[in-house]
Amino acid sequence: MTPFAHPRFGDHLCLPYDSDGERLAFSVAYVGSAMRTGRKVLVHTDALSPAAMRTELSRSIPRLAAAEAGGQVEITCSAGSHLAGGVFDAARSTSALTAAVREALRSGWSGVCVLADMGWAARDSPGAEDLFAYEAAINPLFAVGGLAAACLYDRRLFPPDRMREASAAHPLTPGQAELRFIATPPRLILFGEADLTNAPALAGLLAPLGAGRDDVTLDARQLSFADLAAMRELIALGGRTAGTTTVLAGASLSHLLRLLGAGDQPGFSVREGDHG
Amino acid sequence: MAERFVHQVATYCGERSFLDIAVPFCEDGIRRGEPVLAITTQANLELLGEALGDRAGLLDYGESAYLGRRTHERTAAYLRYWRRRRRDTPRGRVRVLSEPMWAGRSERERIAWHRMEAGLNVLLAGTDIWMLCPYDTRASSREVLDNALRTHPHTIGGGHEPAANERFTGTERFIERCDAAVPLAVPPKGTPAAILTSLSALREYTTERAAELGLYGERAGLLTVAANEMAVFLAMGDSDPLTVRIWDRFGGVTCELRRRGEREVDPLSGYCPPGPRPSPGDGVWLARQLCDSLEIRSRDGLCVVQLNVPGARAEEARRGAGFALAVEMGMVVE
Repeated sequence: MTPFAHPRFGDHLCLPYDSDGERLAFSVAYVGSAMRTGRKVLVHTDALSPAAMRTELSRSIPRLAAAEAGGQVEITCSAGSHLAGGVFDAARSTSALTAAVREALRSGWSGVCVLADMGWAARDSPGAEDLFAYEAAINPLFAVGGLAAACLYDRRLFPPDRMREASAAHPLTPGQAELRFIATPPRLILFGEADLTNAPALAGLLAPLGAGRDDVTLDARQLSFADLAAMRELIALGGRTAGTTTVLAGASLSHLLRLLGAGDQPGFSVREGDHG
Repeated sequence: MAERFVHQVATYCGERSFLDIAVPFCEDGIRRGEPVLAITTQANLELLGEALGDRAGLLDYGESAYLGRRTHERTAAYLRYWRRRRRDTPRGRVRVLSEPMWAGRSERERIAWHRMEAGLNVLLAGTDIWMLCPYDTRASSREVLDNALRTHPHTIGGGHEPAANERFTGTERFIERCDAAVPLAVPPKGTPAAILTSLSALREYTTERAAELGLYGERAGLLTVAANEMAVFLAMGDSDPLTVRIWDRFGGVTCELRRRGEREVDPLSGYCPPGPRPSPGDGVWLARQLCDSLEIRSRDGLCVVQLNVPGARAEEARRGAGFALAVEMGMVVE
């Protein structure tokens, strides 16, 4: 089983799958792991009804019924969660996710793990065209902590170009660049790799930075790879912040950013090295 | 908008003849308060300095052999000078006297410099640079002089003003001919080939192979950045795998990316630095900055990219790829 089946707070995962067996195996591992680590688990099911999903999970997770009864696990229909009122509303879904994290923490859980089967978006559901923009835009919620999500996309339902869009809105997809991040305001720390396969996810993560805040520090010293598109995102941040933007970067990234003109931009600086 | 970038060619033979070309160009610029940069041989710089007398103190200068030793470094030097000095003159006009260095160059390098001369017509089109390129007929072959006339849209008029050059063949056509004249490197027998479908697999393979060939750390990292950008350019994907071969030869390491199916390749792709809006040539531009040379060929049902970087035993590169970039960007004084 993929290591992504053991949820880490901050991970916003896209899991493309090819078969019902693959989906179920991942779901069992993900839910089981989240339960063992004392997290609230929200399961949004689509291919199976909530009752059928409960039955399937229970076969491998004997404690599931007790966990549901105790409020640790909630199993609902994906369409019901995302299409309340018959239409997908990104703002409403974002609020619901934020509220779920707040509520879980208030109830004593260490955070929330969401397992969501996204098949509903392949059925021409109203508003579904906004889904990938929503997936990219919610990435800042994951930077704060206390939240992990695995979004399951059935390759049999989504054509290849839609699958590429779906995975690119997520910072993590197995087999592709893996981007992780932590917000410690006013600093955002990036880890891993940023390339074409998660470019919209990085853009979504950086989008709110600079709004209503004077100075921004982006710590990219542990970003092991950034392609041109990612570097442009970092540089663009300087253009939209009211205050100063500082990018902390290793030697190669510093040189590349300067090569791209980062040093010419007022209020934007690249600091190289291990100190910050 | 009126034509802004002026790209003049002039030939000279001997000291007197060089000064006849260079002195009026520099004097006129200095008199008008325009920044003037002269890049030529050390001998010519000394001649020019003596001829200008006190006014030589206003001349910025560099030696052809060192200021932008590679073509992309030279173009970066032009752009850097223009960006830095254009504010110093009311009309934004900046003058550059730039003599390429031909002695000791390989055939491949000569073609690269001619290609750069042609590419400047596109790269600097949006600038107010007035560039005069003197060619020494004693040090240049017939072919070099012919190509000089083909790549410069202007010659010198009777009063040293820019005059249309009737031998100018057009930038795009010339670059296409240059590309056709440079054969792709052939991998040695037994060079391993990896068939890859994802960017992360490409980066992992490039880093590993680079290490096997003695390139580590930043040098391997920058090759990986270049290879990644070219894989994006080739639209690598599940249904469009790339065959990747990386090998060393005397003088360098070649990384070849090969995909099935020809692709439309703009011969000017990657000559202009990225603008505010992303364009398909941006990644090619970045890759060119990080390599000694980059070749793209699309024919016979294939599209092939070869990235050439200095090898592990290149003494200059041992100072670190980042150092070379820092020099190029004017952050380090050697």
